[in-house]
Amino acid sequence: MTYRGLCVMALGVLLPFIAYGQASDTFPITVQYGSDAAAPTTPGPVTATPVATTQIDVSWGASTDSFSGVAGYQVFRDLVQIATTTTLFYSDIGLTASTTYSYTIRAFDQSLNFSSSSIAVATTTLAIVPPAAISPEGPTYGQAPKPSVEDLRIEPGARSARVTFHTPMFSQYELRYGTTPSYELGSIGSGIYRIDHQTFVTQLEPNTTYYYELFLADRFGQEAVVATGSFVTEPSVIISRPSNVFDLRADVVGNDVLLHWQIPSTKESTYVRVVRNHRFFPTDPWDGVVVYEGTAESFTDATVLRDRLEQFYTVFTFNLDGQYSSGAVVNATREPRNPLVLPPLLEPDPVATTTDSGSETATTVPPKKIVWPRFTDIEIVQLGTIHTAPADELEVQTKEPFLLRIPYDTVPAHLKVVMVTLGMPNRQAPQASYLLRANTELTYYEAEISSLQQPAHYPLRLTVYDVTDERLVTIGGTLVAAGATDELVAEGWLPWALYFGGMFLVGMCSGGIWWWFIAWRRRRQEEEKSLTEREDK
Amino acid sequence: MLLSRDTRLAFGCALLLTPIVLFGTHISVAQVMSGTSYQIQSDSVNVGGLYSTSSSYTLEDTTGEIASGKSDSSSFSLRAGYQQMQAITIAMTQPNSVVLAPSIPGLAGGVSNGSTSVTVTTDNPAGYEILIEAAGNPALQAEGGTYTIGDYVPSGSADYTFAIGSTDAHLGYSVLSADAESRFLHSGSAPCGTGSTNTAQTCWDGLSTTPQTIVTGTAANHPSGTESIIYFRVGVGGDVVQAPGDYVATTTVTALPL
Repeated sequence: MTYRGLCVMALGVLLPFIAYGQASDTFPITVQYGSDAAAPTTPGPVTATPVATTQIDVSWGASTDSFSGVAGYQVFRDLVQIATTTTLFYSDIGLTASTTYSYTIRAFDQSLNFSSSSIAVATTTLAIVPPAAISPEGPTYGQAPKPSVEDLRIEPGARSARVTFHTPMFSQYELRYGTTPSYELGSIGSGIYRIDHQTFVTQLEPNTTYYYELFLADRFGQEAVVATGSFVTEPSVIISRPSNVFDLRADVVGNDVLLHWQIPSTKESTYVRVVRNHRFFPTDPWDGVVVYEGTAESFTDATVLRDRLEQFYTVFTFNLDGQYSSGAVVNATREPRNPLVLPPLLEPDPVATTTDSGSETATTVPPKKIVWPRFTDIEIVQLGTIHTAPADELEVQTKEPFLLRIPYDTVPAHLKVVMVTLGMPNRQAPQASYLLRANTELTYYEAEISSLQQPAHYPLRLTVYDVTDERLVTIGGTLVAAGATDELVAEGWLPWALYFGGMFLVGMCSGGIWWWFIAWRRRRQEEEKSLTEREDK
Repeated sequence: MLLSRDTRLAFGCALLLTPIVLFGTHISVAQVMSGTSYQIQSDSVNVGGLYSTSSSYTLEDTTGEIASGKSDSSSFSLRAGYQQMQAITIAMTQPNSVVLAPSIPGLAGGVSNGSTSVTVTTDNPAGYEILIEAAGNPALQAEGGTYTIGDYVPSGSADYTFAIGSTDAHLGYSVLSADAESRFLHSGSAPCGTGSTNTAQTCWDGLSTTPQTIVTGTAANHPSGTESIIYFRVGVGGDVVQAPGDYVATTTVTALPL
């Protein structure tokens, strides 16, 4: 039979099945990426207030952006950009007295669309007060009073103290402190004239008396020591470290890096310290340049990418006892990073080799075998319970902070950094990374992670870096955030269960009382009946 | 001439032709008579025939059929005659176009979601299957393929969760159906490919220009049919530099009888 004949026969066999027919349709899937052509609305109104001979405070109304949201604002002084910020306020300092400056603001969104510039607002810095105009007897310059302080509060912890105060007039401050009245430990100051002030005195010793002196300088050049005193730090206690910030994100605008984060709403977290290092993620609060310290939830690191291609940031959360979190990390780069090629999970098993060269025999001693951590080594500590991973999943409860840790001896001691990364579905930051820090007992590497807000499966990766910041191994799995109670409430099961349960109990109690009453009445009737019978007899 | 009740009923039910019209390209189910509680697939006019049963057989026969045979035109397909309707039919509702939301900002990246659904109805006792394929490789393309977003590549048959790293940009899909393929099933947690649980937006796979079976039904499901929802997700990491624009994946779903 010819080849054509075979084909015809095969077709004849297949035809009845092909004749069954099919239903088919084509449709498009469309996604819009970064093609946001709509600019934010123009910010405004803009106000510029001369605060001092060298400072003008500028504030403005918020812009809106329907596509991706406003990412920040650029501040221009006399048409020259001087700052990028995520706030609605900027203090322009270092100005010249009696000089007029003009300010405009423009907003930009996540797709780097820029709004039109606001209407320019001009104002003049204050004039320098002639020394003769300042009288020791009292105010002579525009009825300006001497510098003074109101509502000075010091909240000491074991290793730090929060200081807040109010000044009736715009003032700069310098807080000098020490263990003696000579204030030998140094000072903390602010070069910006403000009315409401807050700062933290850090690196204190527990249960120790500290002396302080608050010095103010107002915008007219008047200076005064407005408060002196002392405070005692709290005794050292062992408490849990504060949770890390969440939703940490770094946006690059030109050479500026805009950092955003959210401080967990737990009472032990008081302020954050943002540390920058161009080599790698800072592993402790002193491993780099401290670019921000305070209670805000955003910061602009200006022109930091002008000379560097990439910068690494770690945000540490502090409490008043001086304890700090393991650190949330993010990097910012002007160019995308090349994908890293991961090495194999396990290094090849070392095998002793023997070389026989003539009469001499040399034996090579095998290197020590490195065993990397496994996903099952990861532990979650939450609400006093330790959860371990039987396979590649770990469970946590939503809305509760937790500690993620791995045993200290599962990571070779010479390695530098252990980092955990969580994929964050439906959050602003697509993922969150945290450093793991060895605890004081050197039993675990730990990271304090803020509560996960919604029940979901969060991809989890744990990565180990060596001393040269090369990624050595990554292990992966899933963090399952369960919220059984919350889900029941959300689905309406719990209220109904409580309702019917309550009704059941009420019914049981009512029935019991009724049964007791009937029994008591029957017994009473029988007693009366027997009594009557006896009386009749 | 007076006819018996049975004869009148036979004549009343009988028609000269058995029109089987295939409506459009999507619906291939047809009937000559239907109501809220019944559906007559075919009928015939004949002059004889019996319905006989015994303990070992069931016989339906007919004689003297007229105007029987097969006729086709561009707008209809006709099967006239006794038991001409024994062809298998399959129908699928038209899937809607999918516009993923929200749009993904270029500066920070993000995730965008969407879905479409199809309902397949078949009288095939062996069941049906649904296949999906993309026209392009990778599926999501902009400006004629100059710019693309890659197809999702699962680590196994399907990833329980949609993974996205800072340097990732990809399109994935998952299937929610009573007849979903085993790779979209799980046991309440990773991995996929085991268990019997099928949940929305779980077990993600990537499109391909090669048709991939996503749903397999092993029995007839007419007249209600079986709905299958296909979820799509695009994720773009924060470190990805991607050309802005509208990215489109032309996708085809096909329902086949088994």
